[in-house]
Amino acid sequence: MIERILERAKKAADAAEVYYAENETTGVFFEAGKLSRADVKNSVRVILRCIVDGRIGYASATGAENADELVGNALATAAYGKTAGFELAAGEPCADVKTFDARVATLPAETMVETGETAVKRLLETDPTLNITAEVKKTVGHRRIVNSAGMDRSEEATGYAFVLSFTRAREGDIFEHWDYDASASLDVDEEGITERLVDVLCWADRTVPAKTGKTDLIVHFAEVPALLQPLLTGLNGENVARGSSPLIGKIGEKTLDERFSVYDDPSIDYASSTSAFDGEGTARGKLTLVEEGKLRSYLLDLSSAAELGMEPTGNATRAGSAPAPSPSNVVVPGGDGKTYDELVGETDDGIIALILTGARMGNVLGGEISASIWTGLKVENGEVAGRVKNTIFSGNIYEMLKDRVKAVSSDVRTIDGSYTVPAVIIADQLITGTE
Amino acid sequence: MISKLKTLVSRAACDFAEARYEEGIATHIELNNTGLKTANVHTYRGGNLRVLVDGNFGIVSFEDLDRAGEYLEKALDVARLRKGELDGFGTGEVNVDTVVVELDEVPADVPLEEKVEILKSYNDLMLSVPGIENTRISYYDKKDRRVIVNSDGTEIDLTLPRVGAAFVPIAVDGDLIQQAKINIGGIKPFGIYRDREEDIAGAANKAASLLKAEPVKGGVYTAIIDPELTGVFVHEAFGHTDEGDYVYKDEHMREIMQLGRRFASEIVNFVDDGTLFGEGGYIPYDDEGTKSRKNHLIKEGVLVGRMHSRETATLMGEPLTGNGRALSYKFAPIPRMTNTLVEPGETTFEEMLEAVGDGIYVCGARGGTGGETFTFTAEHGYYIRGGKLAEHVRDLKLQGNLFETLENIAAVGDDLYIPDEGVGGCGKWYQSPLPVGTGGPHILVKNVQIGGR
Repeated sequence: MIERILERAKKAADAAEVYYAENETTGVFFEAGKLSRADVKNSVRVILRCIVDGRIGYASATGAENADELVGNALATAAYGKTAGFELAAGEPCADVKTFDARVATLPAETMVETGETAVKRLLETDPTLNITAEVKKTVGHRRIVNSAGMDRSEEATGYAFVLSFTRAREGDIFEHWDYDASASLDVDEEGITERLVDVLCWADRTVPAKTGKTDLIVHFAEVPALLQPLLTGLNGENVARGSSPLIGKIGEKTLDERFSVYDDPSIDYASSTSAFDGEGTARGKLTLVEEGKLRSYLLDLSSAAELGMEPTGNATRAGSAPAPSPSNVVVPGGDGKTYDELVGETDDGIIALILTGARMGNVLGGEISASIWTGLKVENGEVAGRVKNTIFSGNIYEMLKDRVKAVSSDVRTIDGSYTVPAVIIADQLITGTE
Repeated sequence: MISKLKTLVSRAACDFAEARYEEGIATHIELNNTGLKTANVHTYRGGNLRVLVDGNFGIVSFEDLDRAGEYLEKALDVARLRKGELDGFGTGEVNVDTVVVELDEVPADVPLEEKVEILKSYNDLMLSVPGIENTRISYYDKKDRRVIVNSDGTEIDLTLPRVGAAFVPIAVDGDLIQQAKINIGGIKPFGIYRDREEDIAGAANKAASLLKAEPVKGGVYTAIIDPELTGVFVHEAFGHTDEGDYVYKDEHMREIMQLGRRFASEIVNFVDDGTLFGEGGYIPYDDEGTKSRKNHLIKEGVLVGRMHSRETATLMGEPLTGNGRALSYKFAPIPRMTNTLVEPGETTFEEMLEAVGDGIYVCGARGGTGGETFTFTAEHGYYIRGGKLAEHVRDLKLQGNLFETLENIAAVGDDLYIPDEGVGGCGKWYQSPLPVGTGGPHILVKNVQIGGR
C-alpha cells in the first residue's frame, strides 16, 4: 500500500517521499503499590511529503488505505508550502546497528507485572508508608522510508522502559522522588534503580534549612541532560537557519569549558535513540558537536543543511509530519579526575540536584536555565547532611558550563537510555531558598 | 465500524465493556520568521476498548481497525493479569445522544489559502515591530467525531470543531532573547482570527519591551497575580490536587483533601465548568458519556467537591462529575479538568495596588508544574512601590506550597478573565495536550517566593 501511495504521488508531484511507522506498546502501571492498569496500543502513521514546483506539501494519516485522499491533501498544502532547497536522494549505505532485541518482543506482560511487584516490595520493606508508582513498558515497531529517488529502507526496533517513584508523606512534608531508565534491549537495571531510590530515602530522612546564597551546585548525572538542553536547542539546525540560535557563526569557537566534549552517537548498540538512518532516510553515524569546549557541528536535516549550505548530519526526526533536527544519543565523556562519589566526598558546602523541574520553561534558546530543585541534597564536609526543600536557581549555561565548571566526574551514567553523561559541579551558584 | 464495536461490547466476556471510536481531520500550520514552515493535513481514525474483569481494567487502542477483534482478546488478556480493586463499576449515567456542535464558520471548513494568508499577515505584523527578529506561529483546527458505547447502554455520538493558535514574537538584543505569547482559540468560529492586529502587535511590543526590563530580585513578596497566571495556579497547583485519582491513590492526600475542610478565607471560590461553551474545556459529554456540568471545588474557602472519572467516583463512593476525559482514542478516560476558574470577588485592581503598598505584580504564564509544591514561570512583572506600578521586571519564577498559598490569598478581584486556549493544554500520564480552559480575576497573595539571579 505504501508503494501505491508513492506511485500516485509521483504522478502528480515532482518528488515524493512516504514515511511509514507502525508499533505496538504494552504497558503495565502501578499506583499506590498495586497494578492499576495494563494496556496495549497499536499505532500506525503514514506521512507523505510531496514537492510540487519547488514547494513542499505534507499530509498524514493513521492508515495507508486511502492513497487518493493523502495525495490530494499533500498537493493542497504544497501550493502554500515552504520552498524546497534540497533534493530527495536514494541515500548512502547505512551502518549495521543493533536496534531490535527479540527478548523484548517476546517478553510476556506477566513478567512485566512481576518486575513492578518486585520493585514495589523492595521499597515497602524500606518504608511501609510509601505511596509507590511504577511503570514497565515495551514497544515493538518498524519504520520504512521510500522516495521517488529510489530510496527504500526499513528498520525494526524494540524499546523497554522502567519508571519507579515514591511519595513519602509526613506531617507538613511531602517528598516525591523518582528514577528511570530505558533501552532498546532488556538491559535495564531495575534492581539498581530501586536501590538508588532506597539510598535517596535514607539521605532524605532529615530536612536541613534551605539558605539563600552562593554554593557548589552538584548537578547529578540524571539532570545533566537538562543542563545540555539549551545547548542542543542552540545546535538545532532549524534554529540556526532561521537566525535564532546564539551559536550562529560560532563553529570552531570556544563555547564550553575545555573539559567538555559532546557527541551525537546513533550507533551505540541498543541505546534508545540508536538507528542506522534518520527520519528522512539519511545514513547516520557518530558526530562531534563540541570537542574540548570548541563547537564543531550543528544538528542538521535535509532542509536546514541546504539552507546553511552544509551537509546533512542525519539528525532528522519525525515527531510531527515535517522532519525536524534533533539529537540521537548524546554522549559526554567523563573527566580525567575523580569519580562522582569522590567529588561529593571532598565538597565542603554544596547542593546535589537530583531532580530539577521547570528547567525548560525559561528562555532556553538564549541559554537560560531556571529551575526548581525538586529533589536536593545538602552536602556538608563531604557528607550528605539531609534534604533541602524549596530551592530555585537560574543561570545561563553558556556562562555556567564555560566559566564556572568546578569539576566533571570521571564516571558516566546512561540516562533514559539515550544520554551518557558525567555529573558536573558548578561553582558559585546562587541558590534562592526560603531562609 | 460503530456497529462492529457495539457487537464487540455486547459479546465481551467481562463485567463492563466500553468501545470508543474517533475520526476526524486536522490541519496544522506552522510559521516562523522565514515564513510558512509547514502545512499538514492529518486524517485519523482509531478505536479503543476497555474491559473490566475481576475489578481490573484491560485497555487497548488500535489504528488498524480491521484487527478490533484481535485487540479485544488482548484487552481481556491484560485485564486478567491481576485482580483489581473495583467491585463492579458503580452506577454510570446511561445517555443516548447525538450532538453536532455548530459554529457560524467552522475553522476546518475555511479554505487553506485564507488561513495561510491571515497567519502570514500577522507574522509580518509581528516582524514589523522594532526589536522583533524571530517569530513562531502554530495554528491548528480540527473536526473531531467521537462515539462512545458501553455495556450499560450508553451511546454518545459527538462532533466538535476546535481551533487554536499561539503567536510568539521573539525580541533579540545581542545575547538577550525575550519572548511573549498570545493564544487565540477554543470551540470558536474562524472569525476570531480577524481584526486582531492590536492584540498581536501588543504581544510583539511586550516582547520588545522585555529587553529593557530588569531581571527580578529574588525574595519573598506580596504579589498581585494576573488572571492568566491565576488560571494556571488554580489549574496546576489546586486542580490536579483535587482530581479523584490523585486523592484516592494517596492516603496522605485523602486525609488532607477532606470534603468540608477549610483551605482558604471566605472570599475564595474555585469551580470546574465543562458547560462553558466556546472555552477550551467545553465538552457536552465526557469520554465516558457522562454529561458535563459546573462543579464547585472550593466554596467560600471550604473544599466541597472534586473531579472524577467513573472509576474514581466508584472507588470513593462520590457522585459523577463529568470529568472522565481522554486525550484521544489512544487513551482511557481519567479524571481531568475542563474549564477551571477562580470565581470573581469584589476587590478592584486599584484597591489591590493600594493594599499591597510595596510588592510585585506578576503577569502571564510561560509554564508551570503543579501539585502540593508548584513552580510557575511568569511572562513578566512590575514592582509595586507605594501602591503604584513601578519598574518592569523579567525572569520571574514562582514557587510555593499549595496549602500555604491558599491561606495567603488576601483579596480576589472583580475582573474575571478567561484567556483563550492556544495550541497547548494540560498534560497528565502521557495524555497531552488536552484542551482545557483556565482563568480568574486578579488575586492578591501574601508571602510569594520568587526566584531570581
